[in-house]
Amino acid sequence: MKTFFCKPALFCCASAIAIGVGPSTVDAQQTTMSPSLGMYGTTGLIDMPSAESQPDAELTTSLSSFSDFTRGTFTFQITPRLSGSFRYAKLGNWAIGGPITSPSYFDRSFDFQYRLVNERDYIPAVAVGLRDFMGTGLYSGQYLVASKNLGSKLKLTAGLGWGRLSDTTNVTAIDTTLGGSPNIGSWFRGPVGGFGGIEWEMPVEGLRLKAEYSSDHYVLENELLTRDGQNRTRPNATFDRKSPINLGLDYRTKRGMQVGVYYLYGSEVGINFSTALNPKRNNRFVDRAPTPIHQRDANYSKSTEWTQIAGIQEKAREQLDAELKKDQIRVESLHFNGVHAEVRITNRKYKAVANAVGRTARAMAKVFPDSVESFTIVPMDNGLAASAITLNRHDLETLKNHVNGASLLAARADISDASALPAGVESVSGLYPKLTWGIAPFVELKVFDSTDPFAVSGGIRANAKYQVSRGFSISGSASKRLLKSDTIPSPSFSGLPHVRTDVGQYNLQTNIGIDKLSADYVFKLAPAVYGRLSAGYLESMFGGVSAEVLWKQADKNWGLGAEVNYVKQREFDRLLGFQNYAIATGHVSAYYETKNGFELQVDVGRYLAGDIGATVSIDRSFDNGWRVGAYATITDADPALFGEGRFDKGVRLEIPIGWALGTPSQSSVKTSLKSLTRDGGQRLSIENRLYGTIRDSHTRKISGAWGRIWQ
Amino acid sequence: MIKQTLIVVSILALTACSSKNNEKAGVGSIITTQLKGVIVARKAAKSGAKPVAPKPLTFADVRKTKADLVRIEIPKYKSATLAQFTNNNDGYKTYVTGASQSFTLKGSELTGTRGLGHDLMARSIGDADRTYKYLDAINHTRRFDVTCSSKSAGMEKVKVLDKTFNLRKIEEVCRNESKAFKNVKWVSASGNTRKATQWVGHEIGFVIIEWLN
Repeated sequence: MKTFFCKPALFCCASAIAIGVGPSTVDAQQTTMSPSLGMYGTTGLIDMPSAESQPDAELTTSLSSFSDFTRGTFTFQITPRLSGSFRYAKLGNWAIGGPITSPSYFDRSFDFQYRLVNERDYIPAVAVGLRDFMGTGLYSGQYLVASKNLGSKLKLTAGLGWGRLSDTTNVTAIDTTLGGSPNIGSWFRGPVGGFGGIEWEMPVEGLRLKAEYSSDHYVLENELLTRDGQNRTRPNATFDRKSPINLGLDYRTKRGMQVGVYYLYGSEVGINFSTALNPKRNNRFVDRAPTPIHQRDANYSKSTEWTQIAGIQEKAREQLDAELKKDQIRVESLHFNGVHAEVRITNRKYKAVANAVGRTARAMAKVFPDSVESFTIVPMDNGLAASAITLNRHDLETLKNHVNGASLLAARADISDASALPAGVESVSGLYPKLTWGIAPFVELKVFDSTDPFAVSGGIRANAKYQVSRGFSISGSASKRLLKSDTIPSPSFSGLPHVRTDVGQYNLQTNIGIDKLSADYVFKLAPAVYGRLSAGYLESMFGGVSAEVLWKQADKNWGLGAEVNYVKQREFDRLLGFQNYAIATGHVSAYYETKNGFELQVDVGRYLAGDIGATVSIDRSFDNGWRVGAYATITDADPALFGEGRFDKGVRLEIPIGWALGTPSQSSVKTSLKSLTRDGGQRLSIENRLYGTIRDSHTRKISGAWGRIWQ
Repeated sequence: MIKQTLIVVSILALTACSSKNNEKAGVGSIITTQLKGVIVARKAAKSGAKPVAPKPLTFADVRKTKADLVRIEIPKYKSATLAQFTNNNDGYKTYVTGASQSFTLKGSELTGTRGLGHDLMARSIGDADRTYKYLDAINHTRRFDVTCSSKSAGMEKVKVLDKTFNLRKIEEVCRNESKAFKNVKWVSASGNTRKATQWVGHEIGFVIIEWLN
């Protein structure tokens, strides 16, 4: 049977294959090769880049090694077209940044790649890239590259390169004085050379043969006279680059794990290993089925006489509490009349507020008599009434099984700022005071240090929170370190007050330490104005007082805030004492959420070392709780006093535990990576800042995960 | 590997001693259940004891319960369980299992599941053009559209519990440009569906439903 006229082609596959006698499925086949990772931990051939992008939001971690070089790279597909990478590399037989007798150099670098053109029938994908675009620029190279799939088994790549990729020995000398600043002047300048290669998907599934022509001459690694501005010499070339041809094999699993072995430059064997995580990957997420929505009869009673029953308030609260307890939702307050009910809830289970709202609405439909026509649900975040979601009961009943029920309900729901409780309405008694505590092991990793690439410490940590009343709490944590691999801390050479670079002294001199011990009061000044007062040992290195105010309307995607602090530096033993250094700091902040899931934050003010400047943060936030972001702080601190790096910058990652385990949880694993720890541009580390506390209960976040209202 | 590490770290964190441990029963029960399963299996293996086969369920047993029951089998999960009617919302009947999973049926059509993971959130009814709705990993609602057509495939003997029925087999083929699947149901002369095999979604695959009343 000819299928020339059958469009699209994939339909032909499904149509042409006979469906079996019993229940059966037929899936269309993949028509292009998936993008793979190269030795730089970015999409590419072996040592050369290619023009494709990883799947949107893919977060890859790779480790590669050949000769005296080891590279660890994190790459995030920031948007479908744009990727960013952070790389930490160890270069042996190297003199820069240290005495020749200690020849290993640890280098940090950042890359960007942007896909300019999507691949189509006769047009290849085209991308432009900046490799190691700031700082010393050891790996600095720029490229324009094109890739084209020829069927599902073969892919060709060709590109033009500048800098290290120029196919010449005329490579820009390293500027060790530049550390931390973009080396814009050298981008796309000087000689240009070509590179290219081929990828062939072999008959064994997941196995791929790669061959490439490399335009990187590895000049800097092989010159006997190093060009680091100090004219030091190395006794031997790092490796013998006999050939520009590299070839090897990759094996890639369906879940994105990749292993590669290559024969490089005619003399070396290289290996590459990478894994991938993607917040969009569909893990199985299991939770107990919700209570079905009670359907009222067609001629249901609209009588409100039931409101006159003695003790009805208490009875309703008890019944609702019993229903919600199964989902770890507690009733904070409840008030109602014959046609409307409002409940304030504390949700301890669901990351998605819509999920908790949906479960609460189901419980209310079960508990309340038929005359109650609408429900308002107020999520309480750390004691703050963060928003008010009002649902019509009839909509719940009629849309629950509708194929477009989620979007129709979203259109009819109202999300607004929560008002104060009406006069005479009391919070549920017996909720406060409340003590919660925990003891857990902890592990801390220190990575990417300029002299020590990896250090680990760990121990046991106890934490407790005494909730005195709604919004007022005393909380703290203490830890005992049982394992320390870096017993000799790196000395601080910072010319600024040592507000962060003495972290090694803290770790060395702390036996049992108080990580934090503070009293906090959060409150509302108006429906959209939130406040926080904190006093005590606010974080591991500073104690004092802190006050914050935030204006953020529930239905708006932006907000404004301000914070002032007066703090003193704590003693290295992390007990009760303080050092002499004290400072007043503070910031004004602006928050903005884009429609496509990016959150921007700008903080302007005075930092812990007394420097004045601004921090710009951008996070890609996913509606399952994943966050991947980066930040940079530029202040008026003298670059000479700041030290290597010029300004503070880093990347951060938050992964919800519920995503990893496939079961509801509000907990997350958070981590951040800084290229260097410096004293300039450092803010006080406060756990419960207001924006992060209430953000998930506002329209943008609730709407993003609205589908979970039916879960 | 990172994900496995995360899981280990997560379990470590969640199983730490805490005043809130009772509030994390979801995680705890999963782990405990898995551990219990392993321990029981090991004990049985050590003792050499043969597993005791449960007595097969019969229609007489079902009648005694006076409950509206369906038997649900999910081949991909290698699970089979009974589910009891709990709620009727405008003709959409919800059945709930002992493991707090629910299945919503409109007539003999499965229109929603909960508690399975990768749940079918909603499904359109009646038209040849059919829409399935799911939540993806980032909690966004995703639709999957197919076009379906049904035909009779003759009579077939079908065993349900302890009885064999002579039923009309109806096959329904649904397809779009990337997928094709076939549902089957077996219907009595009076028009009641006794058994059906229905595609639920990409991850769950098919479920087999038997009506026991």
